[in-house]
Amino acid sequence: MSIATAEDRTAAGASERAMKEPAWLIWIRLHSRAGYGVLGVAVVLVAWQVSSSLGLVNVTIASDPIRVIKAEISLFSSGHIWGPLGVTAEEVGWGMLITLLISIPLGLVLGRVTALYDMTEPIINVLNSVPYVLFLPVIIFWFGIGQESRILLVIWAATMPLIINTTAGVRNLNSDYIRVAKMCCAGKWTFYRSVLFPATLPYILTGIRLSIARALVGAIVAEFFLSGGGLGYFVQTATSNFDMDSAMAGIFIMAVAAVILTRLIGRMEHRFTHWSQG
Amino acid sequence: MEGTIFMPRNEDDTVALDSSAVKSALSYVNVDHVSIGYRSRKTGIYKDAVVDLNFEIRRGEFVVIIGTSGCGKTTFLEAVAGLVPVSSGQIRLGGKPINGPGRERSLVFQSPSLFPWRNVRDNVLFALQAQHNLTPETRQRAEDLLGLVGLKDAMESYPHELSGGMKQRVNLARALVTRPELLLLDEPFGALDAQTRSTMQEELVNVWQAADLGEARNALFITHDVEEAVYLADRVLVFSKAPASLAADIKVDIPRPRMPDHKRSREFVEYQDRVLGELYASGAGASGVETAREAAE
Repeated sequence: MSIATAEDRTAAGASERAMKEPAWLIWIRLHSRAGYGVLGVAVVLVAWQVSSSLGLVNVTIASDPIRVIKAEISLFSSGHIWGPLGVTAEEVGWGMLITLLISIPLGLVLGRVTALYDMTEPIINVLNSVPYVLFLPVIIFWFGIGQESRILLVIWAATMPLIINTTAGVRNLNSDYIRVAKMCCAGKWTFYRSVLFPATLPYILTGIRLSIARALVGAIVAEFFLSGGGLGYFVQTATSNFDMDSAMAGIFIMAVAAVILTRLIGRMEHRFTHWSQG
Repeated sequence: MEGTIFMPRNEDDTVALDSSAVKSALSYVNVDHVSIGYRSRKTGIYKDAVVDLNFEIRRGEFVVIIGTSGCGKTTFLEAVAGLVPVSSGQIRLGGKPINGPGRERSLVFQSPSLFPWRNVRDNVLFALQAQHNLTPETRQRAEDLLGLVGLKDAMESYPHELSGGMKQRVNLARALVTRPELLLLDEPFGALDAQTRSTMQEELVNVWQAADLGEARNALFITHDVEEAVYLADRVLVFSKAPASLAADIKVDIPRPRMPDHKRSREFVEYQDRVLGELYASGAGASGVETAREAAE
């Protein structure tokens, strides 16, 4: 608060002035960066609303924020959105789960066994560079147009960044840690679980963050091509029916989901790798 | 660690083993014509780090190896630790040749090498966990040791919150918690400021003299600091400049318990002069010594 005690007055003039600032001003200064972010979004939304209200753009083509909010309310109150949302969540959920189970152990082993790393590094780099969407026709040809194919594309999209990041983390392992483990006569299992995995965790979490972004894209693209439901299919269908309000509402839901997932990973990074920032 | 360690056998191997069996009541570490070399990763050139070392360490001795920076003494310590194979000759521990690290040995690393994701207590417990020896008794021992090195209030702290001296205390506690017969210390106080260093030496002596340590209480300590060597040692081994050989073997007959003010006694200063003299006589005082260890890194 802004009440200065006798001790504070002995401090330098600048800090004394800072003490006299009202609480709300300090709060604003502390949150100014987030505040500017909110302001930026607000400017875009207002401009959008104004230009469609004034008839500068055709509202049936461009929609506007108020109509999107209305569409959002009707989608949730009627429950029409839960179906597509559930389908996409299921694809991304299964896809990420399998990705984690494959990529992390594989990345740890590839990073440790130099011969395997040298053998697989060119392949993994090529597979990572080729746009993964290109594999979709092949996946459809091999596995049909069911949910398996959609999940498979999600896995295909998400595995490479996680493998590459995990491997890089292992290869950057401080050699002192290896020496400590050796001197303590740690077995292979103890070494992997209690040294290698925690030491690599910052890299793994960064990899997961990249993976989730790609998994979302993979799921949406798969839904465009394999019309079996999901948010991607929902937005596509709404657009074809000139229901731009619902289409925009679907995109907005996707954006919120993506932000929540990214924040979640951020929380995990903060919780589990606080030591690496210190 | 599991890598095959190539150790050429001596022709008189059996004879050496027999004679060591006779002496085993007294001698604990036998160093038999040991040479260790490095192949530089950059140039592929083979360089000797130590050549033809030949000595033994008796049970219960605190031995300090002194030599100039990078003379090969750390390489020798790593060979005793089992991290580095010898090129020729043999190092035996209680009669058995060393091939790899073992539970009866602990190493206090030059840099603290603590796991940053574990707090102080869990760092010490790692040594026990690795040896599948986590029991209420050993946990208690870990806490007692941390108390002994003055970290009772820092057990929940993480390494990045500790000072250099505190980190080395954890490093020491981690090495001692498994009750090693042979404690190896690789210039553990080298990176500390003079005052902390002196405190740590005193603490090491205290811990060393504390009753409930390992059974054999052998220590092999590496340093390039003459005062530190004389203060800690029962015996100082002077290594020549690289590639190192044994230049002198000096018994330090200063009674224990030793106190810091012993460092100003005439006796102490005379020992220091002797060690320093041997260092210079062995050519270790020469400048521009290019070392095998540096070349290998």
